[in-house]
Amino acid sequence: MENDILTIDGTTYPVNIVSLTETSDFQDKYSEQTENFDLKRELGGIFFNYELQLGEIQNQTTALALYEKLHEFTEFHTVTLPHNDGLQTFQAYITGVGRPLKSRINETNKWGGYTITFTAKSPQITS
Amino acid sequence: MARTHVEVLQRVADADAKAEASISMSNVLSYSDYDKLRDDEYSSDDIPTCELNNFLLDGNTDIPDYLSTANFGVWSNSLTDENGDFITNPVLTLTTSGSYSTAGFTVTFWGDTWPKQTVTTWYNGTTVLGTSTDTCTGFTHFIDNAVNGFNKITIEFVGTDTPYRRIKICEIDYGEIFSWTDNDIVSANVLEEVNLTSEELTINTLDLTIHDASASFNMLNPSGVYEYLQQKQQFRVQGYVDGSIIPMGFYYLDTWENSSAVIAKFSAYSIIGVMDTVTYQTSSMWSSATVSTIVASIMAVAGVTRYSIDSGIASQTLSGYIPICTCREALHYVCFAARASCISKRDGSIKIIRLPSSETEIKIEKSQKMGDQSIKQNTLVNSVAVTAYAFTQSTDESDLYSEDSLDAGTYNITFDNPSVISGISRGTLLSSGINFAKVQLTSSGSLKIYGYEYNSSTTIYTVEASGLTDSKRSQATIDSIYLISKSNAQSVAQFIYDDYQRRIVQDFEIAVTSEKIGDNVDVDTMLNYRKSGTITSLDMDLTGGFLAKCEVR
Repeated sequence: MENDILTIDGTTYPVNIVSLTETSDFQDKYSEQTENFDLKRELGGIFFNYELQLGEIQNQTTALALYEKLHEFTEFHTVTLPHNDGLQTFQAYITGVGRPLKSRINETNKWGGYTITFTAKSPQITS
Repeated sequence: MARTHVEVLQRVADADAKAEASISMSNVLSYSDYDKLRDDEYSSDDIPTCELNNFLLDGNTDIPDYLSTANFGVWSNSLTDENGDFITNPVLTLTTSGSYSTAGFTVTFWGDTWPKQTVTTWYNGTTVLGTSTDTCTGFTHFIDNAVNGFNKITIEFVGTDTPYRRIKICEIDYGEIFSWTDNDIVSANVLEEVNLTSEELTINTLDLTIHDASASFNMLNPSGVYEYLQQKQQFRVQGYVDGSIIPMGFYYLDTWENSSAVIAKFSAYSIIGVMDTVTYQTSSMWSSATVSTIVASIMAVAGVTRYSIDSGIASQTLSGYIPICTCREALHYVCFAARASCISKRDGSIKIIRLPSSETEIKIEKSQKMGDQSIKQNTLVNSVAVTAYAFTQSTDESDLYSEDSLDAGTYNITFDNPSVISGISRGTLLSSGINFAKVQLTSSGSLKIYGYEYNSSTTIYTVEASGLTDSKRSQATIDSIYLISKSNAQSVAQFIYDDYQRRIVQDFEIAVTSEKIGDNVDVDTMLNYRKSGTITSLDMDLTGGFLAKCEVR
C-alpha cells in the first residue's frame, strides 16, 4: 500500500500500511422496539472509525516522530485517511496503540509495526 | 422517523434590575413602548416603514390598521443618512434604585439592521464605573464588560449598519444570553406533570448538562460568569422535530454545579416553582368572590402576568380565606376548591383548567409505545370526606397580638387565625390584612394589636359508594382548605371521589411530537383493551429523540 496515507495534525508519516479497515459506526439517539415489535429509532450520526496496521518502520527518525505523535497528551488529532475514492480529513481521537516486541538483542529493542485505532470525534454524516 | 434536536437559551441576567429599571431614550419615536423592552417573550410586529428599501412591494407585507396598537419596541425618531450616521446619536438611559453587578449587558435589535457601534457607560450616581465601546455584529449585541455596583447605564447607539434606518430595540438584558445547541448540550431532560385534582400543584423541572468549552461556567474561573448566576434566571427550551419548532417551556434556575472544568449542570423549575419562593399573606376573607378575583390577587403577589383561567372556572365563586403560605400553595388551595388543575404550559404561561377536558382524545397505538410498560391500579378509595368551613367575625374585641418589649423598627406580625384589626397601642400601621399587620415603631416598648377574630364552624360532606359498611370503608379526608364552604363542599367531594375511581395508571414510552400533559388519550393497552385517560406526566429526554416516559391515568 502507498506509504503517504497517514497524516496526523498536518504531518504525513512515510510508513507502510499493512492493512486499513474503515468501520462505519451508526449511533442512535434512541432505538426501541414498540409493543408490536416494530423497531423505532432516531439515527444520531454515522462515524467513520479506522484501524490501521503499519509495517515495521526502519527509519528511526520517523519511528520516533510517530511514537511521540501517537502518545501526545492531547484529546484530539486532525487525521487524514482514505475514504471512498480519496482521502478525508477529520477530528479523531486515538483509542488504542499497540506494537509487538519482536526481539531484544544486546539491550536493543526491536519493535514491530503499530496497530492504531482512530475513533471519530463527531459524526461525519448527520441528518 | 422524525429528526429531533434541542436548543436552550439561558439568560445569565439580573431580572430584578430589568424589572425595576427606569428607561428613557433621547431622540425617541413617540410610538415607542419602554415596557416592551422588559418582556422576555416580546417580539416586535413586522411593521413596514418608509425607510429606503425596507420591504418589497410584492403584497406580502401587511400595513397595520392602527399604528398606535401595533407592537413597537423602542425606535429612534430620526433616521441615519446615506452613510448610516445620525446627526445626533440616540442614547438609552437605564436607572435603577438598587445597585447591581453584571457580567455585561445585552441589547436585542429588531428590523433589518443594528448600530455600527455602542458606547456604554456605567455609573453609580454620577461616578463613572466603566465605559465600553463595542462594534455591533448582529441583532443580539452583548456588551462584554463586568461592572459591579452600578445603578445607571447609558448606551449611545452610533449610526446604523444600513443607511437610512432607525434604531429599533426590542429587548434589554442586564447580563448575557447563552445559546446552547446540540454541539454543547450533553443532556437535557424535562419532567412535565399535572395533578388532576390539584391535590398538589406540580412543578415541572429541567435538568441540563452542558459542555462549555470556554469554561465560562467553571466556578473557579476568575473571568467566568458563575459569579453572576442567580436563582430564577430563565432558560427557554425549544425542540425541533423535522425542522419545526416545538416550544418546550420556560424554566428558572434553581441549582448549579460543576462536574468538571468544562461540564456545568443546571437544575431549573417552571413558573410554579418560582411561585413557591414567594410568600402570600394578603388574603381577604372572601364571600362569593370569583375564582378570577382570587387568582388575580395571588398572581399579583407572585408577579405572574401570563396565565389564563377557563371561563367556566373563572366565574365560579368561593368563600373563605387563604392562610399565610407560598403563592404556589395559595394557588393550590384555589384550584382544589374550584375543582381545577393547573398546567405550566410550554409557552411559559399557566393554564387553569378542569381535567379531564372535553377535548378530543388522541389515539396512542401499540406501534407508538416502547420501552418497559406497566399497568397498575391505585389503592381503592370508596369514600371521600370534605370539611367545609364557615367564618363569622367575632363581636368581641380581643388582643390579636401582645408583646411587652419590642425595639424600634418595622415588624411583620402574623396571626394564627384570620382577624380584623381595630387598632394598635402605638406606632404606625403600615399595612394589614386578615393574616398580618406591618407595624413601624420609632421607639422601644410594648405593642398590642386589637381586633376581632373570625370564628369558624365546620361541616363534613361525604360522598361514598352505596351500601358501604365500616369494615369496607376506605376513606380519604380533606380538610384545612379554607376556601371550601357549604356552597362548594359537596361538588368538591364528588369531584375528588370521581377522580379516585380512575384507578388505572398506564406507564409506557413514546417519542413525543405534539403530546403534552393534560391531553386526553385513548391507548391501545398491552392488555389488549383500549383505555382512555389523561396524560399526567411526561419525562422527556430531549437529547435522546424526545423519548418520553409517559403516565396516563
